[in-house]
Amino acid sequence: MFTKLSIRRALALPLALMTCLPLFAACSDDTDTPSGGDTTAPKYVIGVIPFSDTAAEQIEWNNYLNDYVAAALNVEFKFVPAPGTDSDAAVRGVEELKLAGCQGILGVVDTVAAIEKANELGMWYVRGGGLSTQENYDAVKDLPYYLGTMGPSLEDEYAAGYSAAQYFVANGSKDILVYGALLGLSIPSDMHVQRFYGIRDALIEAGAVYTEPTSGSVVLGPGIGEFATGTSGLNISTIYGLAGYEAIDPTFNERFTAAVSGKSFDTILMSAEGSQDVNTLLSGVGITGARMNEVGAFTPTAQASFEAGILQYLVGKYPSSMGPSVVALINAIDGHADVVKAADGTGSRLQGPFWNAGSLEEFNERMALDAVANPAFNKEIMENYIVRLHPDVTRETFAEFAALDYDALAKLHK
Amino acid sequence: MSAETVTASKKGIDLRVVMGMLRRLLPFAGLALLIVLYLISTNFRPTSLHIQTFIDQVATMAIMSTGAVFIFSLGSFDISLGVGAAVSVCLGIMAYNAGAGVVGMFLVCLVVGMAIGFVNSVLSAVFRMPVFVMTIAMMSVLTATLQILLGGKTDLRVTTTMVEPIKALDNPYLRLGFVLVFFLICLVLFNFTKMGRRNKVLGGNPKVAEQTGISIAKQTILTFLISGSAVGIAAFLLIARSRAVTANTGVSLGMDVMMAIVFGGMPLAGGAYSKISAGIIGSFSMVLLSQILTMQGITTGWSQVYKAVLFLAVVFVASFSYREKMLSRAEMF
Amino acid sequence: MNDANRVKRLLKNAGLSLAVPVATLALMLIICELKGVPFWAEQGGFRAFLYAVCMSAFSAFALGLHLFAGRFDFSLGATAVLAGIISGRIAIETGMNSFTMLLTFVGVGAALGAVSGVLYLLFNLPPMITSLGVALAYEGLGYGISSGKGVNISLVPELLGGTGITPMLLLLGAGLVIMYVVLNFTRFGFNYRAIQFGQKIAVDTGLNEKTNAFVCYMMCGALVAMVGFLRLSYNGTQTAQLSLGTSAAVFSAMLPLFIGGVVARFCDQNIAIVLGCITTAIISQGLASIGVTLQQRSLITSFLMIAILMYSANGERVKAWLAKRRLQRVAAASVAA
Repeated sequence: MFTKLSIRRALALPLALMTCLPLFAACSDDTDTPSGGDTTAPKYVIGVIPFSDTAAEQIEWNNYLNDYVAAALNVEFKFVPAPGTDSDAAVRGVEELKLAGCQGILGVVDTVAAIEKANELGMWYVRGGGLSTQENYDAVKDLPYYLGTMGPSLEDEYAAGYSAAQYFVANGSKDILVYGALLGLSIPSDMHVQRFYGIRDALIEAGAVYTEPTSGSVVLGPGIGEFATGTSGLNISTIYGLAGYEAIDPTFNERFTAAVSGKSFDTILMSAEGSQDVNTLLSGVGITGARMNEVGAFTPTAQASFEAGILQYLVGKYPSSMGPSVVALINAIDGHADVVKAADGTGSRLQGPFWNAGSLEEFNERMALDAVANPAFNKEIMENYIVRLHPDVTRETFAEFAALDYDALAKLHK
Repeated sequence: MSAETVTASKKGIDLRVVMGMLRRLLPFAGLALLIVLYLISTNFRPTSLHIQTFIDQVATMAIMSTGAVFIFSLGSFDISLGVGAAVSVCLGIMAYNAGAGVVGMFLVCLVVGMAIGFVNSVLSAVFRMPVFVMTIAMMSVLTATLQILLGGKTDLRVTTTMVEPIKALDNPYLRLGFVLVFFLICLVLFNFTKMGRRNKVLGGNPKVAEQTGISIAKQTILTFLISGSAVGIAAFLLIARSRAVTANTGVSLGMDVMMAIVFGGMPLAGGAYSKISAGIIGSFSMVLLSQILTMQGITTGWSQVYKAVLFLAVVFVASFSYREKMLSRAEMF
Repeated sequence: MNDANRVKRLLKNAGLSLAVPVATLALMLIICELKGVPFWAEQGGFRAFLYAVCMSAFSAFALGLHLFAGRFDFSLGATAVLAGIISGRIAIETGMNSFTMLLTFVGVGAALGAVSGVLYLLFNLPPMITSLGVALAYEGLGYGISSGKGVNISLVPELLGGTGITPMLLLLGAGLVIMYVVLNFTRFGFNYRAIQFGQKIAVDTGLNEKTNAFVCYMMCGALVAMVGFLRLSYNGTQTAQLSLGTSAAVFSAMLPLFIGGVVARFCDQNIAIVLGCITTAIISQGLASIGVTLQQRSLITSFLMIAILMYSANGERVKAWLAKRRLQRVAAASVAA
């Protein structure tokens, strides 16, 4: 009567039900419940739409939000999977965050449809971690619930590439590989394009001659052209693409090898992060000792690159650079969106600068200011710009807050 | 006859009939369980927003899954459905931006979806290529085609000055209408017409189907045309929702549709046990699950593990209605 | 006489087997010459080429082992990623070198494959379905245990030696020999083929299908772990992935498998798979050298796959039709005479 099959069947339904138990066990957030914090402050629920589920930069932002801001400002953060460039996935993310009770969204993507959906659902939206393209901004700037963008501007991105190239040329670089990262792929990035343009223009100023890519060599996006020495005395090669992502860029290894073959480089000018990956690839073809920059973020990975002598110059965002975006949302939720938005009621474009470091010592100095327990944008500094606590905050002072650079933050911490 | 059945038949109850009914109801039980969990997550007070959001999210997948049931019932699967929808979206937007209007856009989406289905069916039926691996190749072809159509840009959007009529289509009741009408048509076709019966026979045993005079080529072409029409309608609804297409639009839709159909109790081998309701039930279940996990704040990598366990558990239970004694395998070539 | 015939047949088959990669290479060299570009870079070009061959060979071995047994496994990519994350972390924590890391990969991959196999056997669901669940679970695990960071061995030089030319040749050779011996000279191999060509008959004759399937899953896990090893050693990092992003990794192994299927008429299946991988790598290298864009390359390889599938599915029909036409001509000629 009790066969193996009947026992399995009898166990199947309770087994299926038991697998639902973890859903209740993780009833609230599945990260550590924040302790301490201002329990007299209202509880805010803010959704986050990340640009990536696995990028070190995003992970550091998530850690800052979950491990510090949640307790410091009494905020519950809810996350959705990174939608990539899929508009429908981004819209879905917005809807799910609304259903999860979010009052506002910190989006590191600027998908127009998602921002429109957030507006339709009455959720404040701030684009953190960077500024939108002009086209995207124009499409959504008039939406009532759109607060704007906060982060390094496209001019900052350009300057990041420009300053890195200038730095290395001024310090004796001769044989340069320009790595254009996402240029020319199916997921092109305006940030990478601007950084490359900065690098390009710095090299042109040094005397190199640049030729735009012909249509045959363009994949998607502007692609990457060729440099000739001109009067610069520089030997410059170029490569674009993503190492280690065969699904997105299956011919990267062949193109990379072709670009570096028979050459030696003393400098790699990068328009993204990934110095370790590129260093590994170069070592594989016997090229060692090249100096590199990164335009990325202050992360443990970048620190390890500095310590290993791979990285010499870093321009990037830092973990607590999301702080002003959170404060913007808190002000909007409290009914003070006017201090965030532009004077004409449109979404603002508030600049939040990069940090940079030209050595391990400078890197460590920067990171000491942005420690986990007491980050650069800490509770004390952020609370000074929450209108509920400081009614004298104005649009101008809020913009100054968002634009606090390393030196200004260091002064505030003293 | 087992002692159990003898005893049961003495009491006037055929246990086998009861067990059969219970097995058929298992996918519905899974959906019911998810509905209960959803109600718990909303504190038993789902608002109109919950209902509207659910409809908005489920519509595309439900229509595509229902259309894909026809292919599944043949014992095949088309993994290029998602990319096919993206190409339809792209051409639909291009047509609209060129002045075709909403109706023109709908027709373009429908025709493109059906054309892609037709090409797949010809490759399968006339050239006798194994459907699954052929659609893998077609997925690459369509992905490259989409990137060429995008012509070097990240996305293609509905022209800003012409966007209002499209926004008006972003309506949950319109979506619900499309889902219901499409499902009813497919229900009639699948369960009450020769076309549906032939599909099941062909899926169950192609040799028997051939011997009984069913034209495999004609049946395959009809099946893919129906699935293609579902892709076209889904593409139209996608345009209404996101008003843009990118290189990654629909990238996971093919796998989501497959999971939804299986979630809904559809046997992968097709045949007589195929159910037209599998697409709807599976889509509803998957969207509910996704929303429950987000509402509970479970959105890191571990949520995928939970999803995987739940998926396997539900599919395991739902499969009682069609499993065989031997290990399951399929002819890939 | 028999020996002479055998040698002749062997040479003929060897020639026909090599004809596909050699002809492809000749074609690519001619195209590169006409375009005025080198086929591959002088420095590091062969290494990149060999890396591509090894990656697709191990993927194709694993995919083929399942495919020919009537199973499609979506979880191969996720197994490679999770094996990479686990083995990489173990290697860093315990101070391993490249070789011991390789052995760890084999063990971890086999264990992950075994878990996948147990689920398949326990649930008795179509393998496509169980593999979807396994892929989701492995991706989630890889993300969860590494907190989304994956693994990075770039700064551990002792672990980066696995993708030199000699190690890769040795690895590829060992993989080929093991596959050849296992499938041709072991009981597992005999049983595998019996099930491949007649599941019901094989089971009815008492063959233990479940044990065979389980061993198959373990082998596939170990094989795709080699893909993870190569990727980690070559690039220095393995990132975690979510949302079934790894499932597409399986598809890239299909073209070499199908080319191998054509070549397998003249040689052993495993050798044919390696020749198919070499051919695919030649095509990829050549297209990259002449500057073909990503979409164009994707279109070319997809159309090639469709052409091969068409040939495989219709080759016999075409031959039968041509034979029939020939007979008709002969009959017509004899009637006329």
